[in-house]
Amino acid sequence: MKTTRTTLALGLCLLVAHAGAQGCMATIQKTGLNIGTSPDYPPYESLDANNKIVGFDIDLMTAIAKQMNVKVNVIGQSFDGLIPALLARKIDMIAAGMTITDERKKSVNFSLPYFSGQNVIVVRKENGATRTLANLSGKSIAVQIGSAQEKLAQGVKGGNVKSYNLYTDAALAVQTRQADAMIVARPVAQQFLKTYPDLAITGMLNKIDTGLAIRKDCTDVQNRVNAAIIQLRKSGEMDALVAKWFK
Amino acid sequence: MDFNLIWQNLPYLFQGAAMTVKITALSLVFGVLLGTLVALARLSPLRWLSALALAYIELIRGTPMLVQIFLIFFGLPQLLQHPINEFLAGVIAFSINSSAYVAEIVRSGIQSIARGQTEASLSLGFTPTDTLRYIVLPQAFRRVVPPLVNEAISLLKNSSLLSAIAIVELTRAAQLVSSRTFRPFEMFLAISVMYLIMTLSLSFVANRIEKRWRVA
Repeated sequence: MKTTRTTLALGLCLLVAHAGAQGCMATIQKTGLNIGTSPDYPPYESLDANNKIVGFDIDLMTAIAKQMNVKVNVIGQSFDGLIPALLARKIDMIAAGMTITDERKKSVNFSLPYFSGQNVIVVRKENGATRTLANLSGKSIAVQIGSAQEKLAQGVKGGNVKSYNLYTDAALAVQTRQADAMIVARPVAQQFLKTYPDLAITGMLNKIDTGLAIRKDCTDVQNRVNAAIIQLRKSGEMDALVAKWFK
Repeated sequence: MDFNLIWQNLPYLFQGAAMTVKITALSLVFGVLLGTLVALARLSPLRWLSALALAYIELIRGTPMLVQIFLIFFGLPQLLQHPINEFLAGVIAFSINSSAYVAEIVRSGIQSIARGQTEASLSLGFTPTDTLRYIVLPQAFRRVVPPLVNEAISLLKNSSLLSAIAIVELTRAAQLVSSRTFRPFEMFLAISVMYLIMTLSLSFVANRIEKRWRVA
């Protein structure tokens, strides 16, 4: 009995070692590319009327997977759990409008940036003139938990950062006067400003690059994805997708 | 596993735990006060008052706590056209929620006191209010200590729901650390132990109270 178990464990070790040696592409070719995303971030990704995950990231991943000649499975979950899920090998890649930051680079690799945006300050219209981060001193700042904007808000001297599970909760907090301002990526802000006419973008902050996050040991996947992104840029497909979702 | 991560962030987690204790304790005090009033209303001979109390209890018990928290936190400021601090919103939501459960606990306690005691007290010339105050309630409260402790423990654990409105209690503290370090497992393991220590302490204190109050 004991021998069987040892053999089994040994075999498992070998199997894992084997998979590692072959790189991540081999597994992905068999199982398909498992994409993790947080479908609460339009226009990057959200649920449509049929509860299907749609958005810029999803179209982009479909195009990239086509270039790589693999199937793609989209898995929706909460944003702050995405990197842990990637590290735990539950997913192969994160496509979630994720900003490339030095802190995240310590844990994961990023693809070439596929979209450049900007962080903005959103306040109630009547509060106006909140143009810079310094203007947020002494104010409460709503952000999404685990986001790059949260990090930015934490750098505001005398600011009171309030981290919500969803950026929509953060937006609602500003709308209901529970927070003074919100820091969020501009394309996302433009989406919800359509629903909240009493809110406005008053400050333009730093530029941000969005990338796909890939596990560090999967450099073969990273190379293939980068090649696909370059190809999509050349063919004009990338521009078409940007025009479709960010117009 | 990276236990260093737990040690490094322990002071921050303790701050979260302090917030958890503060909110739970405050809400429990208000919950017991409000709940006792609701229980008395429920037992009132006035039909409409009793019906109102019943409706209140069913409304609160029949809706999820998280929904109540969101209703208070996002709804109340809309209604008042004035922001309310999330700590206050949390205490209000928790006190209201707790009061419904406490009301039923206190009601069962009061009803468990033999009717003869009230009759005896009244026939000795006590007013109904004094009968309640000196005869019935003190005995009832002794009997309901165990279910009240239960309520306190569940309130303490449910306070993790307040993380959703950005109150940095124990669960939010852990979420914030793990969203920075991408290591949720260590943090949630640490706070599980911390919650357990808090609930076990509550049980311990409750046992002491029960022993001391035990009626011969």
